[in-house]
Amino acid sequence: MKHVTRALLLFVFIVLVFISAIFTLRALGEEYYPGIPDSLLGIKGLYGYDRNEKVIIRNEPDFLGKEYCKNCHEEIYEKSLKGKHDFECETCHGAGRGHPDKDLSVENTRDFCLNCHKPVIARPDFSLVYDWETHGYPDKPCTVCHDPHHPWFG
Amino acid sequence: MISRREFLKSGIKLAIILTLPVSSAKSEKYVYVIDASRCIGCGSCVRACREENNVPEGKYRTWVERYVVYMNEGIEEVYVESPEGGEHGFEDLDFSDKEVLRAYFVPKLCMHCEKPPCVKVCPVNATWLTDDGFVLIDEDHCIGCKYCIQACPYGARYFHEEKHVVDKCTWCYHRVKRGMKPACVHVCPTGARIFGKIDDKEIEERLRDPTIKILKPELNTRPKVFYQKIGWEVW
Amino acid sequence: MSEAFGYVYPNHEVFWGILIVIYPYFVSIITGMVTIYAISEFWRKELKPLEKMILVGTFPFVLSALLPLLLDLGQPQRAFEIYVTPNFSSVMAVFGIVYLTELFAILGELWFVYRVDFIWWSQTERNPIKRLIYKILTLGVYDISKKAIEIDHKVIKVLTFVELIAAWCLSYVSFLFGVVKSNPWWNTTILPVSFVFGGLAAGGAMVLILYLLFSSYYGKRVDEKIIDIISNYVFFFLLAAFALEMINTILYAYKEDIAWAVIRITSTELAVPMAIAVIGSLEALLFLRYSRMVSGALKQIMVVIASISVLIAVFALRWNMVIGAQLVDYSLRGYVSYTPPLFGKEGILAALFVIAAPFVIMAIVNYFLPPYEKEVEETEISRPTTSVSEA
Repeated sequence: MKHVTRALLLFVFIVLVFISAIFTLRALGEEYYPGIPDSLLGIKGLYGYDRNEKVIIRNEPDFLGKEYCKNCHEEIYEKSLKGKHDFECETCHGAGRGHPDKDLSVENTRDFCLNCHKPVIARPDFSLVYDWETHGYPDKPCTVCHDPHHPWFG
Repeated sequence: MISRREFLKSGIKLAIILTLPVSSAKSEKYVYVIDASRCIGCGSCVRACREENNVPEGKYRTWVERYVVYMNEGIEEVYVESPEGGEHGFEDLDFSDKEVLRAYFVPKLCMHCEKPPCVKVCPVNATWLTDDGFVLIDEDHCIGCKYCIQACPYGARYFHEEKHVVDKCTWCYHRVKRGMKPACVHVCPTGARIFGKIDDKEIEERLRDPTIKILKPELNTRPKVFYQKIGWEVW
Repeated sequence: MSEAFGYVYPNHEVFWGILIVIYPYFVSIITGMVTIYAISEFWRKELKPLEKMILVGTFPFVLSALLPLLLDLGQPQRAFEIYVTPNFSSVMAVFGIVYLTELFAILGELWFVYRVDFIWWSQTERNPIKRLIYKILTLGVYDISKKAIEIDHKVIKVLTFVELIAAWCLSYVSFLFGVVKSNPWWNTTILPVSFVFGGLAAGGAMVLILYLLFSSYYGKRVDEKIIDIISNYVFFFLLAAFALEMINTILYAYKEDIAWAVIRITSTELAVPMAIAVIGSLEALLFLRYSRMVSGALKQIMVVIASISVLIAVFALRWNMVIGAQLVDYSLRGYVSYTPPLFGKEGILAALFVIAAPFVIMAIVNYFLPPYEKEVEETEISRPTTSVSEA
């Protein structure tokens, strides 16, 4: 019987070491084992720490919105609001964070405009230019006649 | 000294807290509505997402699919494509010899399901559903077993080769909590993507549309991305 | 590495490679071997001589079962989180706990089965390091009275039971795949059952091969009766596994739901493993059946060939289940092809290394815990059966 007791003691010892290792690691906290939201205990995060916050803090917004652009380019801002291209500046120019150090100018080609305005199958017709191959001056950029910030004539 | 009555009271409170899962009382859930008839397939959203969230090349948090349904020997035939996730727009296709019945673009992204199968299978609780309905990943906690990728029926998750963890669309949680729209919604020039709380006026109006659809309803994942103006062939 | 056909979601690729094929394969071998062990313990006393050998054979597989899973992880250093912050709705987290149960059960089993030997070796072993190890392993108790040995037998019975349950639960690792409702190939009720039977056949075949190996290594005479009994079990296990796989395929083909079209074209990608599985199973069934009618060297050759083909066929079945299902894209409109790379973490070389691991461990275990005594070594001191006074 003695050997069974010893084996059992050894087993219990191993299990205890295992469990205490688990609890030690949990107690080490978020740096090593980031907390789980434990709704059962009614606490946000088992270690009093909210993981949602981390997702917010880790990521900075890159796209800042029209109002940010307005600070310097008020004229274009006002103009665009009146036309068909009244969507965000960053749709064409790319993310605003880092501007003006980062250059946000856009390539001035027909292809760039045709990315939205070429009639391809499945594209709804409100944005289409059906005669895109012959429209205007085919070898010149669209911006010769159209203002991209306020493209509609008149 | 606290009286016995107070002690009992706090004891009962504690018991209730310990036994009942805490539920969020007010409906702060966010939903996402996509109007397929407004999508022009320009790919701005895919490019913006890549820039905003530093999505690695060849992986997509959001992508745009093109559906063309045409007649083929008296039966509907579906053609689907998504060249590079629609990131660089779409070229024209030659369907001149066939009768095209309908064609449209469908933007896809993480559905932020109410019953997310990916959260259910994560062995270490590294991904979870927030109270306001976002499914997020803790990149410090994910062990990279890729089980959630297998479980996601919408193909929204991918393996980040540099971080060696699974990554996915967060509906730009960091932007939404700062009072902005998700990057894809922000840059959409035509308003095909609409995002907001479920009781926002515009969202509510669209949810009243009886033809509104969710994808793969048979899997009972309860997605929170709703689609307008799409056919049966989208799943 | 992979090429797409039809429309596939842009993020789709084969995320689980050859390593995750090996992982359920090892687990199924464990199930089979433990089941044969339990049969020898509870029902077929004729198989008693195999007892230690099966333990020595199973233990390395249990030790290396987690190896492919660990290698597959993106962040292997965080693997212990499965125990620290487990999510009990995940099959993988539950697997961790079942695995520990199995590991402890087999460790205890080994100790109780070898206890008398430890005591004997700790006194007779000439190598001082080995002797010290055996001394430690006795845990300081040198009691080999009749009563103590009887208690040992009782404990072994209980441990075998725990081990059997844990091994079958382990084999339900197939739930890992079975619970994924998104994948049409995995989303079938029959999958766990056919998985268990395939595992039983593979484990039985492994026992047969190991028996012949150990017999020739220790110069033991091969008992044909033992071979017949085990090959009979393997035959019926394999028959069940094969039938279940067939039924599953036929049902799928007949029902023709939305996924069937793409599964059908994907299966062209899997022609080779499928052919291996079918031909291997049929051939093994035939050889196992007719090996009973012959005897001597021919019987052994037939059994070895049959066992190896069972092992290969079951591996092919696992390949189809793990890789094959991932070829199908969840858009159900296309599939990808997959050929494993030669190098790298998911490569063939890494896989070979992982497959070799249990056999290397087995050699080490065999060095310290030999299941038989070498016949060539004449032992003038006969083994004591009941009494050794404490040294």
